Amino acid sequence: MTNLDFLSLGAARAAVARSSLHRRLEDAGAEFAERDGWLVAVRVPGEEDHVPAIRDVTHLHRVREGAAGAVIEFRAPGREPVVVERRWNGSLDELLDVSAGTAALQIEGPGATQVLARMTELDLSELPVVGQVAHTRAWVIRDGEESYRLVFGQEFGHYLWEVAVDAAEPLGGGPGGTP
Amino acid sequence: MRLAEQPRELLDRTQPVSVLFRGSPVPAFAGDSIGSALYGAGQRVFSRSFKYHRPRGLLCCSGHCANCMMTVDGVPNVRVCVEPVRNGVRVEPQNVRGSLENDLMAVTDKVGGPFTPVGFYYRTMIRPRRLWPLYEKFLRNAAGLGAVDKHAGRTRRFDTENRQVDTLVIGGGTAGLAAAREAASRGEHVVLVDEGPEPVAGQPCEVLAPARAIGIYEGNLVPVDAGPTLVRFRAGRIVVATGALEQPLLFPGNDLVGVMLPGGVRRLVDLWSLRPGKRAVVIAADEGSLGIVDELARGGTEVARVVDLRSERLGRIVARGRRGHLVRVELDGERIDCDLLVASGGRQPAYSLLAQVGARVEYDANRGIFVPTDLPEGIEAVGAVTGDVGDAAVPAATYNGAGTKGKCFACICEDVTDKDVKRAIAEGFDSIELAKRYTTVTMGPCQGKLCHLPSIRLYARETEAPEAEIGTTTARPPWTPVSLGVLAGRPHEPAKRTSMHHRHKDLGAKVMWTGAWRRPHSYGDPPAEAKAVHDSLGVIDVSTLGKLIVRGPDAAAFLERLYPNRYGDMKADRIRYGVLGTDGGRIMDDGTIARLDEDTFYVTTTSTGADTVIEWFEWWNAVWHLDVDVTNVTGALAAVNVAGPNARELMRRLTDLDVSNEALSYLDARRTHVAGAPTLILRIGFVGELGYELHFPSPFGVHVLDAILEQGADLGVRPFGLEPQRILRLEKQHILVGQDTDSESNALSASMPWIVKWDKDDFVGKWSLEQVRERGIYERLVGFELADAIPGVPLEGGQVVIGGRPGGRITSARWSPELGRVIGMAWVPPALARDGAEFAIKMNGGVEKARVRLSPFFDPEGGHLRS
Repeated sequence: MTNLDFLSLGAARAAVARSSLHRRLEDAGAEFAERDGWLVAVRVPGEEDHVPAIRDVTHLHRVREGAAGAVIEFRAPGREPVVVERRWNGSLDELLDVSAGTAALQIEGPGATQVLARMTELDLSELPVVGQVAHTRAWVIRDGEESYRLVFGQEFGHYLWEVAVDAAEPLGGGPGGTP
Repeated sequence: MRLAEQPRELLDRTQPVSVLFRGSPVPAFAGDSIGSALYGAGQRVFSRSFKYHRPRGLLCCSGHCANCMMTVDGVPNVRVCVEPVRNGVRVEPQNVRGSLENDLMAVTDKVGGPFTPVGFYYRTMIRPRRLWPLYEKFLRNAAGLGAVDKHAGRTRRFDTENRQVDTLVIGGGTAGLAAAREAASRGEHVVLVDEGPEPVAGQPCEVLAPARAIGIYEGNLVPVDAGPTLVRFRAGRIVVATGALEQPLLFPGNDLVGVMLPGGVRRLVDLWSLRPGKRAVVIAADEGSLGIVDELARGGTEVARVVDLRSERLGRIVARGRRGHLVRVELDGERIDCDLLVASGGRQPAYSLLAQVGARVEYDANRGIFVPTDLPEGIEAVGAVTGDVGDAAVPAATYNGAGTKGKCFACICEDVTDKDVKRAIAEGFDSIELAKRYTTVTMGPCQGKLCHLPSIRLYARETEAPEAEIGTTTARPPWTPVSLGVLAGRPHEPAKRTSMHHRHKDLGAKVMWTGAWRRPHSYGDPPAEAKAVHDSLGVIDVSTLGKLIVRGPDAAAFLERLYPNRYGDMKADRIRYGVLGTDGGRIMDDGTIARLDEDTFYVTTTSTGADTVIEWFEWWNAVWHLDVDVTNVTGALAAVNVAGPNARELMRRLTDLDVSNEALSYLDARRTHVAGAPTLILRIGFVGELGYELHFPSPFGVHVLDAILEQGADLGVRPFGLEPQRILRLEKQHILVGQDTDSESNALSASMPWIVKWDKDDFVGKWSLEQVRERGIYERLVGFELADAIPGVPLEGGQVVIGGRPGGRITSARWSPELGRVIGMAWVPPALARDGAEFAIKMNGGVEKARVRLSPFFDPEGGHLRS
């Protein structure tokens, strides 16, 4: 096996990573701190009143993909990795870490289901599922009763953040930090 | 006149509000509709009809007919009879010239009749044809429904919401409520939608009101218009409880102000506590409608005469008016003064949603109504919509006799009279579908709710055919008019951006669309940006390139089969340019392939071709089942290209790797750290100068770009965009697939015969290319310069002229600041593919001379690239 470290975020020496949602959070006035080599928006002014909250959880997720399927993990105590796609019965150990290619956002709090219902036709009682969210392909994973995570191509970060916050605002939601 | 508090009134008399009607305040209460507020203030004329501009007043008070349509806060065609008041709401009449009481366009009613019969626009105002713009302007001004505020489109917000439920109940009357309660008691997830204005009694389940179901679509999809939100329901089971609609009677004067349906009168009295008139006549065909007498008594209206059509036969009804207002009714000659005529010809089940989803409709001759049957799976009907409307008489088709004067309307929305219908039949439009389209009956805002059944009855009489034979017209969504904004929802237009996008904007980039990507066209000065690459140092974001990791024991064999190039003999850490071909030997895409080790290759593709190429690789992998894995890392890696004489010095500052020409030569690949980020360096040269393409994980995009700009500041670094890149690559005659090639181009005609390795085993397109080689090519892609120094740049796509005829086309053309002249590429006949050959191109309105150049315009030996 060759050295594919140039794909790996972990192989960085002195480079700081930003998620593709970074500028949106900066524009919302977020405070940033470094966490595990990432610049993370830990607080957004006014977030106490934003229910549901839209948060950037890109730095907390990991996606491994390959011929055998795809696995998404979120770094949080007690969370099991979610196998979101299974193609054929190959070994999941051979998957490549492509986390750098995806971003993740969380819609969390009362009203989250309604916000997500305004972004996608997917049946939210049958998660996790991959499908169309606001005309782009995304994995939708349930975190809790009113808590969801979307994992999608990082090039759509700016766009999907805008869609999520726009859908949430009339319902009382808005951007939140990830402490 | 406002009555004392009624038991079921919707009014909150402790909350007075004010409506601005024609600029003047009209008092109302919270709970009023705009229509009830205006009626309470004495307004009786609410609109002018579509064609004849006849005064129209409240008729149904349920948002079904068109009589009360006004413009509210700039939004046209609002049915004010059910539109709730808000304090300060601005209400204006529409489609009048003058005032509601005195519309100058009413002249069409007096004079127009003979000139504007049914279908007149198929016969008149056609010749002379050049006067059509004038006719059109006249017609547009004379008829119509309100005007759209051109600026309002961007100020209203509409959302779309998707819901999945077990049961959806449409209609919150008695039957609908019972069905909802039953489903809820069984533990189903039920939602009930009701159009209002009466509130839904009790809360058997989640209720959405006022909300109108627009239609029922395949897959039990029911879009519901709930004001600013379109709620798209997918239901396991749909229960249609839409009830039955009161039908008007047809008689001369049936459109006068003061002629109302029983339900309309009921709502005025019960919901808004208004007296509907001083003296009334009631004509009804069923028990429920006759009950209106009670409401009239409560409202303080004198009831002068009640006709129960079940027991009393009427031959002729005539309503007479003064200035459009009812003053007298004549029943078979008996004259009764009155200002209110409550007339109903029975109730027709509102079957439209059921018909849309596939139910059949049958005529019940005993009760004179159409009834739905044969409901498809998953669809149920309850209540009056099933035909359960009680005992009713079948009214006559019309109640006018020969010689009775006065327009008798079959379709009030579209101003179609019984004479129009008769004329249409006489002209041969005697099938209901044809006649509908010719007369436009049922095509107005009510969509047949108040006119479909009466018009069928009229047809039956005039054609002497039974109603069952005539049938109904096809029911289609939307069942009720719906604004385009609600259907459009939020504009979700996906855009892809690289991880450096915002830094580009900080640097002044002018952003353009390429496919779904947003990319910098330039940073304000394309020629200067191109010149900087030649003179010092430029940097461009090429993160949009497609990128694939191809790995496995069969990786080399896989690529050998896909490409006409040879890859099996590549050494590790070396790069080759590749051209991907179709089965037909046509050029599909191009890019670089780097061998990372024995079993691993790194393939790049064009930005816009990335998705196609990835699919192509995966498809062939599934066909051949080789031991190889293809992983798409297009989004995972960002990429920048740094190019120019100072590129090496920049690289020295950013990495520990030995970047001397000996250690890292042209077409070498290296893995190392650049600016602290793990990076794959590809030394390639699309833009013709010493250059390094850096591929590293996307999240480090801004970090690396900032490092390049900082370290390169004293080296003269300048970011450049797509436009300067186009100039630079053209100087080297590097093709852009899709720009310089099309779906017919192959490697031989595109002047790259060296790409094809004929001695290889079979590869995709090999057979086709062998045919081309044998047959010969019909065209060649060449570079060209203009023979003379003339102003202007030839158009891309412009014609090559051979012997006075089109003989080829220009694919690319630019003015090169480095070379000081216009350069380009074009397809020409093979015979002209010689250095110095001249040909003509269409340019500047005439023909100019161009000269072929077969080798790159800039640095043909490639010395800069290899330096």
